[in-house]
Amino acid sequence: MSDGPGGPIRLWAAAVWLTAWQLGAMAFAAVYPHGALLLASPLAVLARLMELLPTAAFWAAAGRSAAHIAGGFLLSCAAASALAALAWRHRRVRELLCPLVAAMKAVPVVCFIILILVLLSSRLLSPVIVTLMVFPPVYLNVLTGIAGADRQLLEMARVFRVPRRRQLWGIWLPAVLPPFRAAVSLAAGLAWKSGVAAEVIGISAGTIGEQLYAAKVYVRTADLFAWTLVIAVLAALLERLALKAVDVLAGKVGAV
Amino acid sequence: MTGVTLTHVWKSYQGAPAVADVTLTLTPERPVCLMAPSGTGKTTLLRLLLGLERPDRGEIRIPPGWRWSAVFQEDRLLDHLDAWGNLRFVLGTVPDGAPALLEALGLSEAADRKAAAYSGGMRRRLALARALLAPFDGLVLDEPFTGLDGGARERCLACIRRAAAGRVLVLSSHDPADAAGLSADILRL
Repeated sequence: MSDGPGGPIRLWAAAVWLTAWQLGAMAFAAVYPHGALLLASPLAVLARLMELLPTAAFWAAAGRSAAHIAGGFLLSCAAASALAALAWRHRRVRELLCPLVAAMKAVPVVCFIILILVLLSSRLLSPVIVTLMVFPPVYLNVLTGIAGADRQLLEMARVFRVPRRRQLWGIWLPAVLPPFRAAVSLAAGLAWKSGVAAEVIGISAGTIGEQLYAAKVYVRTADLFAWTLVIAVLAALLERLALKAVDVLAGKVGAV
Repeated sequence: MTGVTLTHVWKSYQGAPAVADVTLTLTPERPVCLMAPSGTGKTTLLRLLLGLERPDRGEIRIPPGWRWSAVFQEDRLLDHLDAWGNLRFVLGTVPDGAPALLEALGLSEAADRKAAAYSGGMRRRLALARALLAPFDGLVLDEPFTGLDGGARERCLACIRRAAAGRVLVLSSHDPADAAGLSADILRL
């Protein structure tokens, strides 16, 4: 079970909540005529997921959303890291990006979604939104890491005329990777939340968001929970893969 | 290569002079040991020589292509690397003389351990090994024997004498014995 700030998720605790959900759904179905439709039970969700899994449409939707969201995430991580390095080197770049990053942090994601829907097609919506949402934490953390690089080591490297490439591996990356890792962990979840929200609002064809929208329109709560479970798994997968990549790099430079 | 000359060099921090009107010639024939109480500009003068600070006034003449090597007041090691990694970071490779020098400095057995696990004295000796193995025309040693006991200090002095022979050597120390051990002229700031 995964560790979080509140500690690991215990099996017994998950079982308690699932049981409460099951009992709640059963009570709801007993009280209301269409209660089973309004609040699907965990078993009904599991059954629905089993129905979805063998279908090509399921894998196409999951694959398309994953590609869009992971693509936006990776693009944003790369752009944010490169621009943070540039911003640290050039004050004007930092000043130029400052209001942009502040806006990205402060403006509700739905405003960006609507703006992009007006300007672009819904096909591009989720990658663009994910790029916008992931950018600020990664940019700011990389900038923090660069600023925190050991000045004394940099002076030492300067006196000994250590080439820049070796300085990157020996001094800069060990300083940047820990805050970058924290940003990646945060941003991976953010990417899925904002990406799927964009797909739902934009009703992007052939995506998980479209499936969620259909579940809302046709009041199919079993579908809603099943797709939510899929999103949670995919988000955890993206986070694990991204962190693994960072850890491999950190292991190579000894920043662990 | 000839020597390095400082002519009427001044350096102040927030109006307070750290280095005041220093004129000095450093040659391979005459090692120099800066002696002064703490906070009286020894490190600042060494930083000026290394090009890490600019003088407010005066001139520092260093021959073109001059290469400094240094032991800083702080060890400035890459803690996540072992001794070999620290040498490779600066030198690009582990030179042939490295194992013998580490042996002479009593670091052979610890060479495969990360620098973070080193004691204060071991860190100092590794910083010295790094400085002595780097190619240099001039060697700057800022209180290089801090935290070393008598035996280790003697071993370090012997290694410095061998490596710095025929090259400019300037160090700072509180102990006249260090100057004597390196046959250095004492300059009191």
